Parts: sequence; C-alpha cells; structure tokens
Amino acid sequence: MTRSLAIFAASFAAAAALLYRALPPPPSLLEEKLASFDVEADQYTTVFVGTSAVYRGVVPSLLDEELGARGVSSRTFNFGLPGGSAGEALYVAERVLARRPAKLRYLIIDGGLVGFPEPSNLRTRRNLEWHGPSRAAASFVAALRARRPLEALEEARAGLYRAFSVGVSSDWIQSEPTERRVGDDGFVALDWGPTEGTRHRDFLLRLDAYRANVEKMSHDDRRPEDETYSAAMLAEVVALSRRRGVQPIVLRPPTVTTPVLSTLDAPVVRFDDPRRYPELYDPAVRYDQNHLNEQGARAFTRLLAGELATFVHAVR
Amino acid sequence: MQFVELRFFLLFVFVLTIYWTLRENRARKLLLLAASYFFYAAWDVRFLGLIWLSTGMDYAVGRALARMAPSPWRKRLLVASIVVNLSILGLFKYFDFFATSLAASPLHLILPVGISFYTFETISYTVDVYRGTPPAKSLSDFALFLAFFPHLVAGPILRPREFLPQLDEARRFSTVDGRGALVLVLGGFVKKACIGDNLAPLVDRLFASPAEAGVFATWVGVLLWTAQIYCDFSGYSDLAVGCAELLGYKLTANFDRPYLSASMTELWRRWHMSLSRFLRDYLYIPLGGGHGGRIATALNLMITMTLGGLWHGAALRFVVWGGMNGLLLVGERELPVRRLPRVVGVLLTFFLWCVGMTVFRARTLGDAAILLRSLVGFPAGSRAGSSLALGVFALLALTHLLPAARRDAETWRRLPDWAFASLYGVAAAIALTFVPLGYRPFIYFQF
Repeated sequence: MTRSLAIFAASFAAAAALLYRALPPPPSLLEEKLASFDVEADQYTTVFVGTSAVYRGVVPSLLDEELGARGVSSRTFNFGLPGGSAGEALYVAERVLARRPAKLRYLIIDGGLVGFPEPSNLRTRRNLEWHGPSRAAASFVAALRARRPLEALEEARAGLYRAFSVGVSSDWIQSEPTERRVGDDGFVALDWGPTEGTRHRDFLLRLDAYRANVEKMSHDDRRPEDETYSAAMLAEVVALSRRRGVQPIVLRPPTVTTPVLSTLDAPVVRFDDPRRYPELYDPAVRYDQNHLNEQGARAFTRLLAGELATFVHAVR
Repeated sequence: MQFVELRFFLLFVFVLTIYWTLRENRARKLLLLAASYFFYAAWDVRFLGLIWLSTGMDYAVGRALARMAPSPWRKRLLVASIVVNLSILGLFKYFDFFATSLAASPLHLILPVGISFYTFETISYTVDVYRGTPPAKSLSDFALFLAFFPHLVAGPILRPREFLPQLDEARRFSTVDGRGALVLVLGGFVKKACIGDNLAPLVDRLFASPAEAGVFATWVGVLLWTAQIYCDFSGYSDLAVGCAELLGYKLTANFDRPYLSASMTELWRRWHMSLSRFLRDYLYIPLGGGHGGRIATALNLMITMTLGGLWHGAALRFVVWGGMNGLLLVGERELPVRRLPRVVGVLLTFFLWCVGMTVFRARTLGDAAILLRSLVGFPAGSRAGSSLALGVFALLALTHLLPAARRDAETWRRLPDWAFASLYGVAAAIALTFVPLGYRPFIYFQF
C-alpha cells in the first residue's frame, strides 16, 4: 500500500514536471506581445511593464518619434496588460529580460501596479501563468508579510495549479483567434469595442464623481493601499533590471482612482498631478477615470517623451 | 463544493485517512455524518435545517410505522409523511413555477442543493418500512443514509435496504475494491471535468442562439450536448460510487452505457437507473403498472414519465420532455419495435433521445421548436458546424463502445501494483491539464 502510494506520487510528480516543461503556454495577450517583441527584440531600447493605464496610454511609435525629435534614439515596446498586478509585472520583466535584448536600456515600471490580482483574474490562465514555483513561493511569502492570509492562500493555490499545469490543454482546445490585441508595438487605443463603449458611457454619466476625484487628487497625495506586497514584487523588478544593466524608471500614469506606489528605489516620472498636467484630466481626452482615450494617449505620450528626454539628457 | 474541486479532494483525503484509522464503527459513522454535513453546509449552511427536518421527521415516522399494527392510521401516517416531504419539495422547487403560471406572486426561494434526491430517498424509506423493511437502528444511521456525502447532492438515489445494512458492522479495508474504485474515480473525473466541461462552451453556443445555426451546426451541437450531459452526470455518478467504495460502502450504479440501447424502454433501464427504479417502484407499480389493460398501462406510463420530467425542473419543457418519453414508451409497447435489427434499434433510439434532449436543454419551448425544425432539415440560420467537433463526438461514441474503463474490466486488475500506481499517476497528471479553469457545476445539481 505504502509502496504503491509512493510509486503513484512519484509518477504523478514526474509526469506533472514533464508536462510543465513540455506544454507551451496557451494563447494570451502576453504571449502575443512576446511573440511580436521577438521579431525585433534586439532593436528595442525601452520597454514598459504595467497595467491597462500603460497598455492603453503609451503609444510606442509616437514616443519614439517624439524622443527622436529631442535627440534620443529609441525603439519602444509596450507590455502593459489590462488588470496587471505587481507579481505579474515581475514575471513579464523576467521573460523580457531573459531574452537579453541587445539594445535595451530602460525598463519603465507602471507605479499603479499596486495590490493583488483582481478577483475576476484569480482563476484565469493568465494569473496561473506567472505562478511558476519560485514566483508563487515568493508571492506567497510577500502576501503573508503583508498580512493578507487569504491572498496568500490564493497565491499558493495558483502555484499548485500552475505546477500541475491545470487546464493548459483545455485552454489550448478552447482558445479562439483574436484580432488587434497587440496593435502598435503593444499599444491598442481604448476607443473601440462594444464592452469598452459601455464603460465609456458609464464614465460620461458619472462625470461629477470624476471631477470630484480629480479635485481631491489636486489636494492630497494618494496613499498606496497595499504597499508591502507590491513593493516587494516591484523591488525585485527594479533589482533584476539593474542586474541586467537596464535602467528602471517608475512611471506614475494619469490615473485617478488607481492607487500608486511611492517607495521604489528608482527614478520616478509623475503624471498623476492634475495641477501640473490639467490637459490629461480633461474629460474630453479620458476614456474613464483611469484610462485615456486615443487622443489622450497621444497627448500623454508626447508629454512623457518630453520627461524621458529630459531624464536621458540629465543622465548623460 | 464539487467533487472535481481541490477543496473536495483535500476534504476527502482527510476524511478517508481518519476514517480508516478509526476502529469503532460508530466513530467512523459519526465522522462520515459530520463530513457529510460539512460538505452540504459548504453550499449554504441554511440548507442543513431542511435536511435535519426531513431526517428527524422521517426517522420518527419510520419508528412509528414499524411499531404500529396494520390499520388505517398506519397508512394515514405514511401518507402524511409523504405529503409533508413532497410539500417541502414543492414549496422550494415548484411554487414559483405554478405561481407564475397562475399569475400569482413568486417567492424566489433558493432551491436547496440535492433536495430532489434526498426527498425521494426519505420517501423510499418510509414506504419501505411501511411495506415491512426494518427501520434504521438509530437516528445517526438514518441521518447518514440520507446525508452520506458521495450521493447526497445528485444521487444515485439509494434504497434503505441496500444501504442501511451496510452500516451495521464496520467496513473492512481488505474487502474494498480499491483498484475498481480508483478507476471509477479517475474515469468519472475525466468524464465530467475533462470531457463534459470542455464540450460545454460549444453546446452553450448552439443553445444560446438556435436561430443562427444551420442543419449541420444544429446536429453537431445536439450530439455534443448528448455527450456532455452523459459525461457530466455519469461522471458524477462514477465519482460518487468510487468515493463510497473507497470508504467501504457499495452504492448502486446509475448508468450502463445507455446510448447502446435498442429501445427507449431499454434506455431508461440504463440511464439514471436509480431514478428509473424509484419511479417504477414508488409510482408506476403503485399506480397499477402494466396490470390494468392497455389503456391503463399507457396512462400509468404517461403519468410516471411526465412526473419524472417535472422532477427534473420546474419548467414546461421538462414536462413536455417527460411526456414525450411517456409517449415513446407507450408507442414501443404497441408497435413491433423489438423486431427491428439491433443496430437499427440503437440508431433509432439515439435519434429519439436526441430529439428529447433538445427539448430538455433548450431555453424555451420556442427555442426547442426552432432546433427541432433544424434537425429535420429546416434550419432558421446558416451558421456552419464544425467537422472537428463532429470528429470529437465520433471519438466519444467510440469510447462508449469500449468496455476498458468499466469497473469490471479485467485489464486494470491484471496489472501488477507498481504498474497500476505508475499508470494512475501519469493518467491523473495528464487529466489535470484538460480541466477547464472556469467553474461549471454538475448539470444535475440544479435538479
């Protein structure tokens, strides 16, 4: 009996380990972005990791053009992901840096990567994908240190599911072709799609609440809601980036209700001040409280290019 | 808490380990009872009140029936017990349906999981005791008969004389058919989680918008639906029987490759067998069964199958589906169907089953009509079906023919222990990769 149990456990673990190595990740936005990035990986100088505020806000081709006009040669890729979390950003950074892109100089980290994965994302392939054994263990410990036992359990569960490749084959079976997700070097504007349209209409119906939040932002600096966990994850991104000779920069995008992180040991470029950048908080360039529309994304990218160029020239 | 969830697995392993380390039968039964109530409360702790009410009431009724001499009062007590049980079931399951039909205000009560199953079991207990079967020896035995977690929420529907005697003495580990049980558990898991749940999105697409599908797409969707519901429910039943066996208890089988039946009569003996048996013994036969002439028999069949349809849910389509099955059973008695070559009978029966299951699964009778027209060549839409999906169905149909995964298959038993353990480990690891991440409850939980 004991012998049989041991043989079962060993064969199960061996098969699971083999499947973990052998099964490729099912299609996802990140995998699509990585595949797109791989086409010219050695040409990229700047990479963004972050949430949808980055995915929908930073236009790589425009950024490169604006930086070029300011004397900074650049090729940018946007790895922003909707609902991105700090743990996932670390995984993205690891995967990008593991490719050792020859010209990569800057890793720009979204300062809005605060908190745990959104509940709706917890039991998704995307969340499991970055919960490899070491990452899940680190995330579990960070969650415990942040005194979030329930989230720590979720991290452990995700790690277990990932280790046993739960659902990977099923996700391959169920996957359907998608269009326009990677777009312009990772950027896709938020001006189209039926779901997005509904959210924008909701935003327009609640403009008073938006204006009140912007007003509040102008007077108070926002406090991070869960600094310990996110700071631990993003500190690793910063450290990893430095180890690979890539300069980390923290970007605080023009979001309104998303919390922001302020304790990272890296230069910070801030756009979360409506007094300094009122043009980014005009409802006409907003998609909702935390996202810009395409016009806003272009305006933000131009301003970002100015800030980055100043930073680059100062470093030189 | 579902059988295919990690938390159920952890609970089961925990219970199994403690269970076999206990020596006293009473301690083991109390452990199982506590685990069963914990399992049930995981859905909604309020559900416990109802099952405790049924347990207490019918245990007392059973004791009284066993003590009473035959008399009109004894019969009245039995009838009262049945009426109360059916009233509770009716209140939670059917009140809103009839209230809405009669333009009255619905109550919007939550349907307690498994109420249809344990209500039938408690009725079978009181009726059997009334007929002379000895009652449960203790309240805890009766409570465990009703609440035993492997069968609590979706059957198989147990008969007291099959289960209660098993509680009399401690189960012996040496008599457990461990290999057979493990094969059933893994097979059930694969059927439910790896096949049924992966088919679900394809099936949902057809039934969500039946007017868009062409003939081929409708056929593919309906065929996949028949595969999905079979895999879902028989997978659940296999898990239930396998888990019970690992604890040393025998539960009745619920499915016997039903799609190989050559008539609807045979199919109902091989599909959800414990329900068919319940309906036969506690409804059809008491109504007179086949002993009252052709018209009375036909009427009894129609009543039995229509109520059987209604048992599945409070909706007109279930009543129509039950009535259709009743008509088919009546038709088979009148027509020379049994003289058909077996292969023709199997194909004809499966076609009729597909028609019935289309009504069963459609959202409304209007949707069912659209789908049925499409099945016979008058599609409302033009969406093409997938040949690949049809291939998947063909593969599943082939596995239905293979006896290899059956409990009595000797292939598994002939393997040396080390080979069985290795193969089981590899099969379990592969199966996990086919489990969709989205949560899908067993279809029969809603009934």
